[in-house]
Amino acid sequence: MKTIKLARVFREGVQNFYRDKWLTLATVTVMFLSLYLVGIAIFLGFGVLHVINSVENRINVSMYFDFTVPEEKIFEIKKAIEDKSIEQIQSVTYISRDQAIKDFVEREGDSQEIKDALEMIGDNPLPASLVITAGDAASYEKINAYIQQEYKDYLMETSYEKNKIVIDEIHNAIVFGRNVGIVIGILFAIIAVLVTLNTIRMSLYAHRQEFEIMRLVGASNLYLKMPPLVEGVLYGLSSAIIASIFLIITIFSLDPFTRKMMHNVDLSSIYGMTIIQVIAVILVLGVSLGFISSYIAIHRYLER
Amino acid sequence: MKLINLESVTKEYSDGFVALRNVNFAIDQGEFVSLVGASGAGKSTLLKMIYADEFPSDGTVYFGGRDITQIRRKHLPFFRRNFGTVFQDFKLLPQKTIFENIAYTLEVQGKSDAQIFDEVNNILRIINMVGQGHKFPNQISGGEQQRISLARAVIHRPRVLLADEPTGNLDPISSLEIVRLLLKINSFGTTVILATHDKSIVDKLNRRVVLMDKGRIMRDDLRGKYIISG
Repeated sequence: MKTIKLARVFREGVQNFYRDKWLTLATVTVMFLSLYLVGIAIFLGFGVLHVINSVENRINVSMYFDFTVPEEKIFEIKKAIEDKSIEQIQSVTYISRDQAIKDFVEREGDSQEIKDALEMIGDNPLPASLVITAGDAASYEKINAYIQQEYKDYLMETSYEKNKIVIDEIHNAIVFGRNVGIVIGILFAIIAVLVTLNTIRMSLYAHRQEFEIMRLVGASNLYLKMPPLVEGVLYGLSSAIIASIFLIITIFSLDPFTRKMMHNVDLSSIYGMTIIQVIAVILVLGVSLGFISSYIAIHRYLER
Repeated sequence: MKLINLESVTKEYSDGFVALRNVNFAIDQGEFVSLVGASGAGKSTLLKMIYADEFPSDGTVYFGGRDITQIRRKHLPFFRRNFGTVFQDFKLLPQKTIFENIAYTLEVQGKSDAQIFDEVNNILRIINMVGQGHKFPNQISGGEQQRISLARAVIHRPRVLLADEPTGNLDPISSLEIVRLLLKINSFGTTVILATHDKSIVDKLNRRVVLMDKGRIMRDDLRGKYIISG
């Protein structure tokens, strides 16, 4: 196709886009709503994953050592566990008895009762411990079994039994959350594709008589096909831009609310990178949806 | 050699309706032929056979000696550039201005912008619509729309102009204007085939008249009148 014709079909597509205002408005509105929903779904997915990760990071298993076990031995065990690198252990942290009592007082605050109780005992009642964290909540059971088997003689107890219920619940919530997220995301994406496809097909259906006329005055098939493709891309692009703007507005207006709801979770990393990623996905999705829908629709009208 | 030649052409649709029955018919370059007959006589189908919008169920259609029933679909748009077509319902593109409607025929052929500008303005002068190029089809009268449609049909200097009931929706004065333009176009050497059931127009023309009835050619007079009794 010659350059002059290429320029013309492009101009033609742009012209169709702004001259048929009602059709453009209807198509863009429907596409924008679909893309907006997909954007919200993606964003919720990111958010849920982030919350899950930060909760997961706070789970751990503590090994409490008998008072009789010397510090050197504990370091030895720490090194052994680290070297063993079983079950994706992420970190092993040593907390001495002094550190433990300091943390305890700090955590419990200035309660007079606690101070009195500690004074009564006189000695430091807390054991030294190793705090183990793993990448996956499901690993703790195996880690605990391993520790129990290898170091039973040195241990007072582990926190595993106490934490087990919480760990299991979190693990189940993670699996459930991921599955629900995947299903909702896929559903929204399918709905968006179907709605867009049908909307663009209907808008081309409104123009079907014009294709006949154009063919009659000698327009080649390629010359007929190109303007609707340009039009489809423009529909997708403008819908995606509007959806992105609304997404940003939504996210920032919900910001105080989400911060309040998840006061323990650092949300700042969700903003920034994630917003850019979501918008990139929406733009690519919008443009390709517009193009593909037009392509499918135009082929149906030109096959005769 | 005849420009257009239909040999034993029959057109039967899938529902069993027979639009053309064994039609034999030829047209010379530069002729002005009126196809007359009642609605459903087969006039439109005959025209569609000529510009390859429909294909015969039996028989052959030749254009310039070439069998157009064998033409490949992707070559159709280029074949169609031999023709200009005008219809009862004008078939203008509603989203385009008058200027753009006429220019479209030249645009799809890749003519330069400067050439298109000159030729469209030139033809707007011929059809007496200078200065109206910026309007849209719904902003002008039926007679004016048909003049635009006619301008679009001939701007690329086709060999044949096919007019299917071009005056069907027009008042008598607008109709006369269209016929006057058809004669003018024919005088430049373009073959004109006019399908109509407007007796007064045909009788005024005093050119070749082909009478059709129920898919058959009943009469073919070199300088004829529209004789209804057949």
